[in-house]
Amino acid sequence: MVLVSVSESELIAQSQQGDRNAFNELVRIHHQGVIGVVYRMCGDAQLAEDAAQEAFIQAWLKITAYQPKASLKSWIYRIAINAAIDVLRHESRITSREINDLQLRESGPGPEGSALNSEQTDLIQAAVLSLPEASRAVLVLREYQDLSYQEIAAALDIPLGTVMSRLSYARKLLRERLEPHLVYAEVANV
Amino acid sequence: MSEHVYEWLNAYYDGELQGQQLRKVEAHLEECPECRAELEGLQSLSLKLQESPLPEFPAAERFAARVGLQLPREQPVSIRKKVFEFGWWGIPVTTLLLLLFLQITFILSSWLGVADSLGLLGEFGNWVEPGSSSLVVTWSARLGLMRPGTGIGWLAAGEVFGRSLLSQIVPQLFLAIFYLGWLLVWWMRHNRQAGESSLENKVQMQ
Repeated sequence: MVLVSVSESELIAQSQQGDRNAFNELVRIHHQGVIGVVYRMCGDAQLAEDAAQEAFIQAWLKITAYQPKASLKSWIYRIAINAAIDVLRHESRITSREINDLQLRESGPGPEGSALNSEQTDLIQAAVLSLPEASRAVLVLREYQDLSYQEIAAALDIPLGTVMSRLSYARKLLRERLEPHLVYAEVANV
Repeated sequence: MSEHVYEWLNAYYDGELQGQQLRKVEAHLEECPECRAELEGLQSLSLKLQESPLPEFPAAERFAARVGLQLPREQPVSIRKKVFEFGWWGIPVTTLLLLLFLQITFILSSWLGVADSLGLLGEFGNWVEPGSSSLVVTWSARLGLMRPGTGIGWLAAGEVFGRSLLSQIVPQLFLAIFYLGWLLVWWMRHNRQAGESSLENKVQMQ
């Protein structure tokens, strides 16, 4: 069997012609990034998997409308964020549960050692989830996917100034919510 | 000391500042402990966010296979392609409709001309067909009814016949050639698509 390396633009063109194998290859390429985005957006592994699948199905249905003005990554992330928001709206219990957890933990520190790290992870995840959707999307694309401001603007179809203000707002909120716990954790680790 | 640069710290931290603005922020950070502390706060937050790991997810191959099973069977069709397909099939339909329209118009004109020459239309004939005499000539010439000495010479008849040829046959001929050309392109596209699908089938079978 001869393996032929095909560029992403060729895979896109073939997918636009209805080639399911080419699209399958695109799914493999972007699977990790999309899963990361949707998980950070909804904070639940099962929901994230469902949202990621839905995102790729939507991408397949819309692939013929894709124009290479923006990168495919930005385009798919936009679909992924919308899919995550849709899934969350159907499963609103998840966010409310996580936010309640966050409020509970604010009353005092948890067990020590490795359990503390796990709790910190949960705390950070819950704090991210408590952000407004629009700011959360910008934060996730910047902090976890390392997209530039320009790429984020293209992905979310918002002006560059809005990217900056939402990111600044999201980080400010996160620091306000996390700082007391993180300072405590650092002291406990020492 | 210059003004605080809080509003630029996020962009600075993310490496999004350039030129004069970048130099301004850098210069300010050297002399301002408050802004440096703010920048450290951003760095610390990013580090904490990065520490939060992803849970286990299915491997790319398995995930892609699962997505593949859920993809709708029908091929996505773009709006541009839909418009093209609509236009493509509109060509023969429009051509045939034009041909039909021309045929009906010419037949009706001829009948009106004949009716007028027989005096069936009366005054109405002049109103409907102001140039009816030429139509009669056209019709007569076509049927070979023109006789020498009838008041219209062969020369005039030939000229009228030529005009008739130009106005009636040429547009129809043009439309017919256009239609045949479309048929030829359709046949070539059809053959190419048939060739591609048989090649795909062979590849899949192998």
